[in-house]
Amino acid sequence: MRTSKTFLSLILALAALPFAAHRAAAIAGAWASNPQSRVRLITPWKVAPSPSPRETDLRLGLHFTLAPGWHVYWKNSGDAGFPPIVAFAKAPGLRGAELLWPAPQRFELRGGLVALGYEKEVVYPVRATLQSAPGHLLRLSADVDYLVCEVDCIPYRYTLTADQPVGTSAVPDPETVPLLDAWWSRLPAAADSLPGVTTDGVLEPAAPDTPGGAPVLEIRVHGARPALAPDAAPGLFLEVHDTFDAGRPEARVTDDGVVFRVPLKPHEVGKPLPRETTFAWTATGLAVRGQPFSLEARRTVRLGAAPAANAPAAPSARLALGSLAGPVPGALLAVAATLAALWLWGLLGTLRPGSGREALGFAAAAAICGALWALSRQVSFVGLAAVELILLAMALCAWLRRRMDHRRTVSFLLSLGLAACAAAAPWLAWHNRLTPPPTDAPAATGELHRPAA
Amino acid sequence: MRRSPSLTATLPLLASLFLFSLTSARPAHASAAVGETAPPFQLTGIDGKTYSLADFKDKAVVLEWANPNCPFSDRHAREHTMSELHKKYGQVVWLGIDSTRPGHSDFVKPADYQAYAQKYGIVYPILYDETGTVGRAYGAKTTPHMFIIDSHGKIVYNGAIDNDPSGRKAKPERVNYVNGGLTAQLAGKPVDPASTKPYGCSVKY
Repeated sequence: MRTSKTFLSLILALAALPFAAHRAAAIAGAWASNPQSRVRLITPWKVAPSPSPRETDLRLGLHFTLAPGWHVYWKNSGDAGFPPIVAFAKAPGLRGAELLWPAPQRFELRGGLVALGYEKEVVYPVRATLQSAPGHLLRLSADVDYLVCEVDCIPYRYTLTADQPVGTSAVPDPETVPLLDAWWSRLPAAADSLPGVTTDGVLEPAAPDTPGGAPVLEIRVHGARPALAPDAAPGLFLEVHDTFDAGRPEARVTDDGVVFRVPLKPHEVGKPLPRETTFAWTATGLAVRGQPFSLEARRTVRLGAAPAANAPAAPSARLALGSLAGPVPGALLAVAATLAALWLWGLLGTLRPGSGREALGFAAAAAICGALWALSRQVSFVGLAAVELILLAMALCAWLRRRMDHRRTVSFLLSLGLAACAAAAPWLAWHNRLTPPPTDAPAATGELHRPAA
Repeated sequence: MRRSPSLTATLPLLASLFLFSLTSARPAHASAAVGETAPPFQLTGIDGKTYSLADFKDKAVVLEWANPNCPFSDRHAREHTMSELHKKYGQVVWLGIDSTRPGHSDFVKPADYQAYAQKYGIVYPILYDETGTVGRAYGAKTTPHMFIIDSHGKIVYNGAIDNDPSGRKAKPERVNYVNGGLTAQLAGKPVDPASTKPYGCSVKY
């Protein structure tokens, strides 16, 4: 009897061995390694849930680790390189493996070239569906071609494999789940899925009086603010366009969102700009109600037409004021305010300093910025911060002026700083203008175009 | 102890400089567009001779940005992609241009370059653009980056050599844009596509 019990235990143990082996192994494929990088396929499960009776979404990942200084590419690689090309082998029950693109970084290369991609580590999420699982093992296999670059570039190709056990109850893999979660969360959200956030664009023709002027793509993300993280300034990444080369985007913050302006160069000269064309973009480094996000969108943008979402139904008093905030009235106002501030500060005429006029002068200088901010309708946070910095430095000078004997020097510095403020404010007002509303009636009612697909 | 006024002077000055630095957006590294006049140049070849674009007036010219140490240029040299096209279109001038700066590890000296060209049967001139001036004028971004210039000196193609960055496509699937462009050009037809996205290593300016 004892012998039979021992025998039975042995049989049961042997029967459980293959399954135990599957459970023990992490379900990540083997690394394919080279001196610059290594790459493997990963899944979030030690045992994937069986698809019966319904199909199961498979969250796979193409996991790279990169040697310091080396990078791999986003779907638009930038000026050089190319993005990874991945072809999954047909496997019974596996359907539609699609490589997805987390928000990338921008790398400045020598010679003014730019690369878009990832350094140190990246997991390209792969979305697939498991429709059926004949047997208890899904054999994943993918041919991967990729280019890894530092200063030099080296192409590699591998066939990566991973054997994914499938069972009735899912067993997550504690090694790969956090990794996949982290990189899936870096996928840009579809613009339409973000409450309170919309995005659109307008193609602005080159100014006719600017020799060699370039058309500009203006992309607006309404309802967004810059993310507060120091390494996450607002960024824009355009997908490859068949008509234009894109320059460096400039970001600025407006009253109702973040605006990017991208100089474009048509691939062919002598052809009229398209009346409308489709751009696809990913915007990063944004936040809404304090929550950071990145978004992706594909929109048809119209030439010189402000989309309806950006055009207020009726001009508000503030907008009417804003229309006055051109460089000339701004400059005149600034000069007048500067003179007033200088007088209050005791730098003009016979007034002597030290009788509380520093505070009045400071208030006047602040008023310059405040008035121009109101008139200009929008001033970037960075620009405003710079003006405030100057004011702060001037306040410091004003304080020191009372404590030091170098009154002439400090007086000179005060006036210099004030003049810088005065010059900067109208420039900011001009710089932060939005593309003017359309002049022709059809464009004025322009609707927000979305792609058919 | 009295504080130096220069200390207080630097604060507003730096702030002003920072502010005005925001005004200067760096220009895009845009390519010479199709339809533009090809920027003229005069460069020295690996053979020591001087070549000028003006020497080839009234002829179609192909410019190929090359770098033997770039795996993409090297693959096309091994596969004779360029040299076969050069042979096929004998009436077309083919010039290789290497804009790698001297001092970069990819820079190839003339004797080594000549040996490389001989090894892979490259008989067209290869020109040094050590300062990168010509590369920047054309907006050459990658090796290879191809330009076709028509007999009137206008750029009619700007882009990749083909549609196969990984070099993995079977030959029937591989579309050689320069081959198509030269065929169209010599037949007096418009080049289509006239521009594509070049792939490869970045030019080592």
